[in-house]
Amino acid sequence: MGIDVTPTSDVPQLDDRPIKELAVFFDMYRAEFIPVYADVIAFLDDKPDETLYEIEQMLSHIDKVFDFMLDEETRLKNVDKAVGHLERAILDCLKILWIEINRKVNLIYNDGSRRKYCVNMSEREFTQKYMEYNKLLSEARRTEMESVGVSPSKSIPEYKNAIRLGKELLESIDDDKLNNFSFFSRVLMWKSQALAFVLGFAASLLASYLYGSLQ
Amino acid sequence: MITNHGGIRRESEVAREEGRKTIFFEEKYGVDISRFRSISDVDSFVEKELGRKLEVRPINSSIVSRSGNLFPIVKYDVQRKFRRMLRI
Repeated sequence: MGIDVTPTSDVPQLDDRPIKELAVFFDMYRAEFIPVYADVIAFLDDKPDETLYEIEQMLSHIDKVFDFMLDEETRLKNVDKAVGHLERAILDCLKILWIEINRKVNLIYNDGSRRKYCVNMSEREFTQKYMEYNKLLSEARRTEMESVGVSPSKSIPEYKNAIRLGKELLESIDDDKLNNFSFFSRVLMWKSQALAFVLGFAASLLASYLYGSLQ
Repeated sequence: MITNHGGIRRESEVAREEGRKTIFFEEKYGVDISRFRSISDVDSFVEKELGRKLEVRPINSSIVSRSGNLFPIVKYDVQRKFRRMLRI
């Protein structure tokens, strides 16, 4: 059984300016948003909540574009607002990728041994790329902050370049080496603790023996 | 042409030349993103590949905007609650 929808406004005309402007929104949605959204889904294997909030906001503005009770200027403003939310959704997707890449890469970068033994490139090259990656991200963030309220999307290509370099860093991490390293680190830790226990036990035995022989 | 920047090879330039629009998606799943026209196309494809439904994951960071949301988000499985109420 379908929902009975009674039209409350006129039928949209193809030469209607706000609807024509909305075509730009949907071009951007398909050409820019869908690829970054797909990247986040491929990376997380889940949906990020932030993007969904932006989509919710976009829908409320698109609804107003189709509300023919409103004047043309208000409807045009709502097209701009929908585009603004779309730009923020694209930026959010890129920043989520940045956060997730950082989380993984920093685990390696901040551990000298892992950086040395678990990466498929020289430590020097990894450090160099890591510095370059952070520099690109800082530049992208600066561009974004400088264009707040003007054009948030200006920083999108810069974020993408930084994330591509972050991906290279991620790909250089050798999971097999990392697993082996973690396993052998645990073995070494247990060995050193067992040795410390044995030495401590022997020392206490020796101390009690010496104490006994002195009395 | 792959250019070097102080000995650093830029994957980004390679990707641009190959015309890849995504950074992870196309390489991971071996598909062309131009096939996907909406988020539901992407979601259903990834769900099919993963063999499970996608969950909504909270991303807590000051870098990502909250889109003016002040209220806490409640996870609410309507279908499950409804089934439980009706004892189906």
